[in-house]
Amino acid sequence: MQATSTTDTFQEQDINYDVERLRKWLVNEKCCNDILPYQEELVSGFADLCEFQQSLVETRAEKDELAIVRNLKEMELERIRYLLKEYLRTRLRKIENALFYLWRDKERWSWLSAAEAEYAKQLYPLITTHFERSFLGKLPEKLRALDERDGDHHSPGNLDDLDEFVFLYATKEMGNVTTDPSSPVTSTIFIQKGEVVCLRYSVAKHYLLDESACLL
Amino acid sequence: MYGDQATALVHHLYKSSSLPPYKEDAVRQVVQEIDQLYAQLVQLLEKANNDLSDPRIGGTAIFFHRVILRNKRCVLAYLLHRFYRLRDSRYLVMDDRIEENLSASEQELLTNYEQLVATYSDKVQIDISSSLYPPRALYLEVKVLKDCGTIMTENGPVHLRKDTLHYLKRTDIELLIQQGYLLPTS
Amino acid sequence: MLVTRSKFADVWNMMRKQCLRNNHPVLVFVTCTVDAVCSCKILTELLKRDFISFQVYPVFSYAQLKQLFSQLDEKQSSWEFSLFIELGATVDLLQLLKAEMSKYLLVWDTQRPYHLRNLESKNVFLFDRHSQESWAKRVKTLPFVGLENEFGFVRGPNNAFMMEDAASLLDEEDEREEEEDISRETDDETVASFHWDNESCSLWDELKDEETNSRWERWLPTISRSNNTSNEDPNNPRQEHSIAMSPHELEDTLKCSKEALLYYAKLGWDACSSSILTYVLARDINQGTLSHVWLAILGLTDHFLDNHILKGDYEMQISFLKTELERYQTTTTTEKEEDPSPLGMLSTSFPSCENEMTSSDCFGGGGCGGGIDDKSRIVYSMEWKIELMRHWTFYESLMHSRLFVSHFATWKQQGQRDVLELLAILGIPLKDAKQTWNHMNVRCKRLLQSKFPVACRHFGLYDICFPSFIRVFSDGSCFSAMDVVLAIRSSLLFSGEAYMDTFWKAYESLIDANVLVEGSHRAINIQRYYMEEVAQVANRQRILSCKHFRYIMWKECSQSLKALLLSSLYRSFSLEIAETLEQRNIFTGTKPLLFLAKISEDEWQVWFLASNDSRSCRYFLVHLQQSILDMLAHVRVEQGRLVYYVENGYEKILLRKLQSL
Repeated sequence: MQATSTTDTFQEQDINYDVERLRKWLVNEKCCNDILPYQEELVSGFADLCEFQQSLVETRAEKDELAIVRNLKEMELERIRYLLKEYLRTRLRKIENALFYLWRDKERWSWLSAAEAEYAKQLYPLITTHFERSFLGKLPEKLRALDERDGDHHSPGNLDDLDEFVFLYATKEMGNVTTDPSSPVTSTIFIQKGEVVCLRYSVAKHYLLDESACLL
Repeated sequence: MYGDQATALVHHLYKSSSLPPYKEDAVRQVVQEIDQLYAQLVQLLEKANNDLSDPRIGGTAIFFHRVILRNKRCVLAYLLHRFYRLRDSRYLVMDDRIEENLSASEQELLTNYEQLVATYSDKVQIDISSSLYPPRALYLEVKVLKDCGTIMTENGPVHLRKDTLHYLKRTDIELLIQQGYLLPTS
Repeated sequence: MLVTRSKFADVWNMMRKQCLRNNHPVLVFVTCTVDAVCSCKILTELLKRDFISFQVYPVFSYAQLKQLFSQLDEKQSSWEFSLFIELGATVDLLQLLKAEMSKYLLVWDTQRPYHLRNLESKNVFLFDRHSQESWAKRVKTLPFVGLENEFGFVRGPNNAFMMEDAASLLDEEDEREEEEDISRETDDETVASFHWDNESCSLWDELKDEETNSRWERWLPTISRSNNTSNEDPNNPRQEHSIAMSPHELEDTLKCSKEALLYYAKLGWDACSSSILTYVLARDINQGTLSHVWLAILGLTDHFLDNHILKGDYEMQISFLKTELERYQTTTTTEKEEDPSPLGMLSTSFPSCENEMTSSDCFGGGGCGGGIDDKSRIVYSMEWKIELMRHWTFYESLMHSRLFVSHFATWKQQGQRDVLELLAILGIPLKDAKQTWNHMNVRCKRLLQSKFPVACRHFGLYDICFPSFIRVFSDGSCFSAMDVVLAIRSSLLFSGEAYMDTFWKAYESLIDANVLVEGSHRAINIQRYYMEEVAQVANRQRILSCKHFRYIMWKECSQSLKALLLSSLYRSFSLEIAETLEQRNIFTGTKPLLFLAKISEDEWQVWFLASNDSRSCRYFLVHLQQSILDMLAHVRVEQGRLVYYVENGYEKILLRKLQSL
């Protein structure tokens, strides 16, 4: 993406770096089942930039610019739009999948954007009424509760095992990392920049959130 | 065997690839079974005056309760997964036959869900129902399978007659491709 | 206006710039022939490279084109350029389509003669293979004379003579209808002087020839008679004019009409295919690819198979394509390809595993970047005129090939014996000959290679070889250009309601190998069908001779015959019949052959084959067109002047008129 003032190379770099960040967050979202924090500034920033690029393309179209340049710009615009939309879609899908769990977990709830929170709030009654209409309403009174624990004390709609392993790529040096906090034997490994490791998600999560690593 | 119906229901969904018809009667049978079991459970507890110390009574009570819970869980999982499949199919090629396989409640759920997604799109001002696949090219060559009438594109109105080939911008025709009116040739 | 070869790129670039500036789509109208489909593919790929949006409309007749055009005009007026592939050169496009002056029509059509109005119009661009220098030498501009209608029918300057005939045959109502036709069809007279070139010198000779003049006298009565026409129509400008004109002017007019008549009578094709023209365009703008060369080869072969091109011209084009091929393919030969023809003859036809032939594998996929992948090659090869040889058994393909059917009459026992004798001379056991080509003994194939042309000469078949190309895939399988063309043609078979599908199937078979293989199976059935029909028709009883022509009538058409006749395969079908008649010497002397087939309750399809360009043929054609013109109210002209659809009942009148020549 090029800003109009192409002399400002630092700004250019910044924008292109952001595209890479957006892509990384999209991959993060796709690779893990957990809800991740919503990247507000990225999304809104890009939404604005897309509009700006669109207007650029349209104004340039009136002048006799080379069609190929125009097409390249449009193509780039399309790609970034796709990234944005896929990011939002993936997040929505995760919300839908983990709706019941989310309903109980306040921490993750705080990681949703305002619109997503609204979405989740409205989706929950939709689904519960559907359940009631189709099934629960036909049962005897005492059995109609939804979030009953079953025999194994599993509440409905649990997230998958949060300790599954994920592949991690270190963008910065992560230093000594304890691989398994729950085991009595502490083992650490030293992770340098650019390495690919396979870690438990619970350990990796911390590094994801501060962008020193990303999922593959 | 108790719980067979529910298992069969889940299994049926598990085996099919897209959305199979809604098994109304199977659900009804499970409900009946739960009712039966519940009645039996209540009867049992009344007989024993809520005293579960006797292992026979306690065991039976727990057994009934577990079966009821399991049935409930199966059916809820069935319903929820049908909803997920419905949601997924919505984003792929619109298959008209899917509508036939839905229960009345599911249809209502679908309409409400679509509305909800639309509201969300409005709020973030990004249309999340488009661009389902990474864009490989700006323009697409498509063959028209059914008459679509005249559509507005960025370059003006285009009349899409059946059995013609068009080369148009992806963004203009994406929805029609999803709905099955157009077929990309390459 | 004519676009000579050197100006192809200029016109195209002009169109490109306009389209890119205004973002207008380009409309592409294509007919249903293999050549048209190939050219369409090349042109659409060129448009795709520039991201110019386009719309492709297959058309089957001029009536459909007209309707489509007017509908498009109503619904969307934001287009500027439209391309016409293999249609439009012989008709007055502007008048037919009533296109506005702001629209430009680019025509790639090899049919001739050009409608003179197209030549002089500023909105119609006719792409022609001649370069500036040779074209200027050969033909100087032929300005629009104003004597022909949009389809190129020329009314004789005074048709009183013919009208008298017509009056006796038709009722009053029809006569009145015809008068209206005349006043509608003729334009304001613009008498022009024009020069004929070397090519048309013969025409001058004809006109000067006394014998022909006397013939013309019969048709074009003297000036005095013209002044006393019985059908005086105040609306007819020519009649008014003729009364007022001086004898000298009238003589000029007569001369013009004669020349126009003769000009429009010589229906034929240019010595090129439109796919070659489009390939040349692609090459001129530096966007030619190997797949374009292959498409050009297919288009050329399509024309050659239908006898649109003479052998000499065909060979010239082939050598041109051969040099072009070298631009895209290295000529270093691998161990397999020491000598092209053994590879061609010996290779199997089908891929080793059909599942592997996905679109990307085999034809490189459609779309912008699509092309022949590195693994498949196009190889020049001397092919035999045996259709679908590699997809059939050798014996069957011999028995059904056009050359053998016409020469040996293989439907007869004697013919079959001759073929068996040929095989015996070659030393190929019948069992091997009846094996599919893939599984035929390699020894037999080598024998064929060395001895087959010689053996054929022994039986009087001298013209068995022709230069062509084969496409060799990475697994060793190959398709010859002729076979691909036949397979695609078989997809174009008319099948009732679903005729649009036939076009798209043909289009798909350019990309998808599976569709092509299906097509080759269908083509085999069509070959068999040809032989059956020829067997029924090629005897003295079925063909009726008149003084100047012969004709064949089908009073009832089976479904298959109808499907054949209504598609572009009618010509190869009639060619097979004509060649059989010629080769079997069923009649002495060649005359033009007229075909009439009752394709539906109300209509007869009428077309002709003139095997040579002799004087008598030309006169017959002129007479045919005049007769058609007389009955224009009852005739549908759909495919230019090559095929006519005559109302039921009127075919008898037509025959009677022709017989009275």
